[in-house]
Amino acid sequence: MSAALSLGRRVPGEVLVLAAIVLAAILVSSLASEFQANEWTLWVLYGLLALSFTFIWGHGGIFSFGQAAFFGLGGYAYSVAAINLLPHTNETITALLTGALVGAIAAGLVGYFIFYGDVNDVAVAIITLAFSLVLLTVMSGTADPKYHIGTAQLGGYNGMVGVPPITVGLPGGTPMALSQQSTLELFAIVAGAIAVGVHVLLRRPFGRVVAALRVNELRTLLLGFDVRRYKLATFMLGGAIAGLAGAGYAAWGIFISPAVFGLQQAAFVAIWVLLGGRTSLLGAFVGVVLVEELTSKLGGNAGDSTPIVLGAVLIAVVLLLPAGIVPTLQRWGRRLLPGPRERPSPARASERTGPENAQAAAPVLASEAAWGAGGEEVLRADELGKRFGGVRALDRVSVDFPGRGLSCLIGPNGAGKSTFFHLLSGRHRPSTGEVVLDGRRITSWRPDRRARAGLGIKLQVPSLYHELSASENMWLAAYARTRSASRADRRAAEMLDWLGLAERAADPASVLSHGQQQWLEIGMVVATEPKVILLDEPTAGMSPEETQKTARLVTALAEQAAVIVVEHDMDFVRELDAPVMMFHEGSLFAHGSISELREDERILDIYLGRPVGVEG
Amino acid sequence: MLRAEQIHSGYGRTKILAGLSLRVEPGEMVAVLGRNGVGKTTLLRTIVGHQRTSEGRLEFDGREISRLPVHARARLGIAYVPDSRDVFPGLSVLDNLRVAAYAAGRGAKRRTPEEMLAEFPALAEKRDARGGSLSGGQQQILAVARALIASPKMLLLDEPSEGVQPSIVQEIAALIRSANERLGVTVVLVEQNLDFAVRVAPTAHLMNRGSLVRTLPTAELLNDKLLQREYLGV
Repeated sequence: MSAALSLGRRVPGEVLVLAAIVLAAILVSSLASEFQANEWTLWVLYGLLALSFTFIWGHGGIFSFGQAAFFGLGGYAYSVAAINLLPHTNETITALLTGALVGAIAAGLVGYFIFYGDVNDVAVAIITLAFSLVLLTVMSGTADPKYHIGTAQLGGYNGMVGVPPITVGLPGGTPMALSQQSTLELFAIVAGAIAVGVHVLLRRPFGRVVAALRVNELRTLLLGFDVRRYKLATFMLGGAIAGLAGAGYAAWGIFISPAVFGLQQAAFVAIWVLLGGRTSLLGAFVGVVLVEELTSKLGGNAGDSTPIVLGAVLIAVVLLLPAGIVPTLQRWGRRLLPGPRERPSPARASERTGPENAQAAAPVLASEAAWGAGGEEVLRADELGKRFGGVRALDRVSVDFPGRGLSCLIGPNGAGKSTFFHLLSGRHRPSTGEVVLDGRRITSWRPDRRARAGLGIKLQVPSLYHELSASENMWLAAYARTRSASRADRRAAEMLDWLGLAERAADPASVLSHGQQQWLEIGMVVATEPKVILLDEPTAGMSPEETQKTARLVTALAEQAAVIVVEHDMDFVRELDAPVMMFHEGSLFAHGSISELREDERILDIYLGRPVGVEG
Repeated sequence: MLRAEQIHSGYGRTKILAGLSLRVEPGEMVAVLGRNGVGKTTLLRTIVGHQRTSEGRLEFDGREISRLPVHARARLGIAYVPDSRDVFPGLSVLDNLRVAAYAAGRGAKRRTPEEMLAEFPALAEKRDARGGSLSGGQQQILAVARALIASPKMLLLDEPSEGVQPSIVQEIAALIRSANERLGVTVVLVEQNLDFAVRVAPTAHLMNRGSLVRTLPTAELLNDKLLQREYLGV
């Protein structure tokens, strides 16, 4: 749902939606029978659990089986807190919040090890599932009366009995347990408020960054966002919502057992969300209602075949409606009722647009007076070396880069220039030596920290947020620097203007031409106001005309910052006419102007594959 | 044998081949020379079918092949040795050849692993050694032998000299020449190593920015420092 991410639009409708939900909840619960209210409350709570998964997976890109675990922990936390506190406080709302808090803390602990340990996506699913199953085993083993917290017996595989329902009251007053209808009313309003809250959050800068790291984590990291922190925060919020749902579940059933940590519960969360649509907040609830209705219908007649029918439905939906039910219905609805939203037509995509006026407008780049570091040395490689297994890819290279101006790195295949580049960018850790940026040793820093310290990195392959528009792409880069939504709006517009991409601002990055994509990404790097810009083969795949424009763009940037370009394209290097460093067999073989290197017979021999001694 | 007319190819929106045209006659040996990143590997991958052409015609043996899948092109007689060589490291030399023989099917022209070992004495010595234990040059020879087992009409070679010690580079050049003379296989060689290209192919095509810019005898290129600098050096 990239359209939902459109910039600078505040939807006041959300307040109306919330009001409608409140009214509907009051109306429905007053009309519902006790039995219906009971069933619908469960749907709402499961829906909230599904919503927590929609949030972390559909929007945050984290596929976790842990939501059921946080749900269960929330349920246990509620039960323990309510049993212990009710006699004193006469209410269980505190216990409800305790459930959410415990869910968040558990997610925080698990998430810390997952995200700060750089665990890959598949392992996240496995670890979270294992976490849930460990809880199943542990909680099942607490049947002995000695396992109690305060007056609450944990009850082992039998579960906890005597869990108080939702109760309101004041200390010293009389506790009042809510009726089934009132409980439904309460949870419907809470769920509605949370759904609206999540909806709003996803449109805030936080939500945009979370969506960005789902689409392209590497780019997000290189812009200087601490993706680990964003993921952890997302995961914790998801944990809190699941914990709250679990707390409600324990209150609803006045019972909680280790079954909530089981495989089936974990799988159902994913099934609900897959059916409803993994990006749709409404879909979370729709998925629950469909599965629960189907299960209860089948429960009467089909009995044991329930899982088979459910499985078949799931497969059918995944194959036929891969987006899920709600997003598919929304798409059909939009097709039937063509609204004012127009898709930018690729036909309008003029290939001419580009940094025509790059040189003229260069001063616009800096939002503050001084941007680059000036003439002083800004980046230093000190005895930098790297071994891969037995191969010495780079052998103790020392180079200083001044605060302004351009340097080109060239060399044949396997010369070590890419290794050198990636030691500077932080993708590799050096075996020897240090990288010093602006007087600070950054050798062991992660790429995002390097980016915040002023190292802008553009890798060879265009790395954009393809489903987001050009202006959303640029906004994310500007926000990484300004940390202010409104300033980022302005800066993004300025940058697109400067790049000559203003008329493509609303188009998804994926429909831009190759050259425009490269310029957009260079512009995004510039929007983070780096002191040093690393460019890896910026002109690969460009037409001669695009290459010339890129040369003008890069030259303009070099007036304000140190720009280091790795290139194979000698036409481009000649066009740049900047100092060239030539790598060969892991060492800096020669440096000078391109015409000086051109005169050197040994360099020609190296490029032609003839053996040449490194000494000299 | 091979005719490419104004072909375009690339990755996503990144164009690597931009209107490249190339004709190779049956039995001819040509070298495509150019710097890193000009599209030499993409050219071979496009001929083999690992890369789709977005525009242009690609004919092999008089037949349009640009929509054929990789295996169908291989059956028509296109053999490809990538720069990674892709020798199965866990299989012996003999088993590497057997796998290729098996994949080549039961065609009359198919040759046996034993024949290939007889033809490549360097491999016969190592017939039971694991592919992964061979030196770079030996792996290259194995990869060439494996490609020839199905008696292809055309052999595509991506930088066979890279990372190979000079003595074996000469041996590889001789093997390729002899395969061409005795079997009549057409050879398209992609290289940066000029001396190796001169030893193998009489004709050189210079490549820059995704298309061929010059065609000349390799011997002539060897004496033209200006052209070398323009398209191969700095």
